Amino acid sequence: MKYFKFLVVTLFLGVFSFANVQAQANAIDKYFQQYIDDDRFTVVYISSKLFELIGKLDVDGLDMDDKEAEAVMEIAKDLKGLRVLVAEEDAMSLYKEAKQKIDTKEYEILMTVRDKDGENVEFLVKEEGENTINELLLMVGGEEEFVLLSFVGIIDLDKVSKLAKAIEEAEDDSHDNDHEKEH
Amino acid sequence: MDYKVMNRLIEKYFEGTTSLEEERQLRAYFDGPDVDERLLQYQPVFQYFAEQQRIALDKDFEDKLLAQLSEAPSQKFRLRSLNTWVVRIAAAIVLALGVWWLVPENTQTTTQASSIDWSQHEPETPEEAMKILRTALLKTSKELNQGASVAAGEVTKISEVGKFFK
Repeated sequence: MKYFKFLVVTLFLGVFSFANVQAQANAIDKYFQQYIDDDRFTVVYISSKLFELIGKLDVDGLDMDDKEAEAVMEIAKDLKGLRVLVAEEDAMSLYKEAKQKIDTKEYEILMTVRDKDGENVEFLVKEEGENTINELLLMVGGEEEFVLLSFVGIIDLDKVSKLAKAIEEAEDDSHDNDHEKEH
Repeated sequence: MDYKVMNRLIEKYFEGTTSLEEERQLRAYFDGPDVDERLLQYQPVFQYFAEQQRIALDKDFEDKLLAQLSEAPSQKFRLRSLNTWVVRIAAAIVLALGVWWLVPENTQTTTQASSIDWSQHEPETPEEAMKILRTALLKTSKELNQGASVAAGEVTKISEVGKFFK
């Protein structure tokens, strides 16, 4: 009898730990499989191997601002995978479809934004323990395009948020230069 | 007893108006050897009733019953304990199967996931990958900041916004 209970409990634990390991699969593999073969979508994948290679890139050789490149690399070093799905048609319906698919037990909504242009943005995160984000899923559904971004790895939102500023500053400089050239 | 009397009794019987005594007479008549030919068709019916009445309990019926009753509890108990074991095993199997059925949602996706050939969507050079990553991060970063500025009014405290939403 005791042996039996033990058996059942072990079985359960076994199955659940198994399920946990599998839960590591990213959201795109899990929910958006069919989009990958969908012609409407542009699909890009950056593997952990590529992230390693990115880390080894020579900053000076890149066609971008050094600070910017460093900021990107700083984030890249903790990433294990990036999956991008972009569709330039049926954006709103795809967005709605996508929203329904996500299991909110697994993914926590970090924020939802809808701006006045009718663009919907949703940030979803999968966390492990306190404050460690394992996967960041960004869904954007605007009038023109539907974007799904899935970052897998350790994601520091603070770094990510600071990146925009760094890049924008760099871009502003280059834009100014462009304008100067044009005029 | 002549034919007429019996015929009248039979009619009465099928009308349901015979008395107990008359019914007894009918049974006795058909059980006997001198049944009128014209009434033979009714014989099996009344013979059956007569036969059924003759069935009695054996003398040792009570003994047998009591013996069975005294045996029964132990037998029943044994049967039951066997049953619960069967039930336990069955329950365990059902449980295992149930979990097995529940899990496939995950397993399926992973097995399918492994079938996705992501490699064909990979950029060919790290430089290209870097550009895509930059674009992706920029997009994410911008959206994050926009959301954060709307939500908290403070772009740089994005991590605190994260905590707030937990």
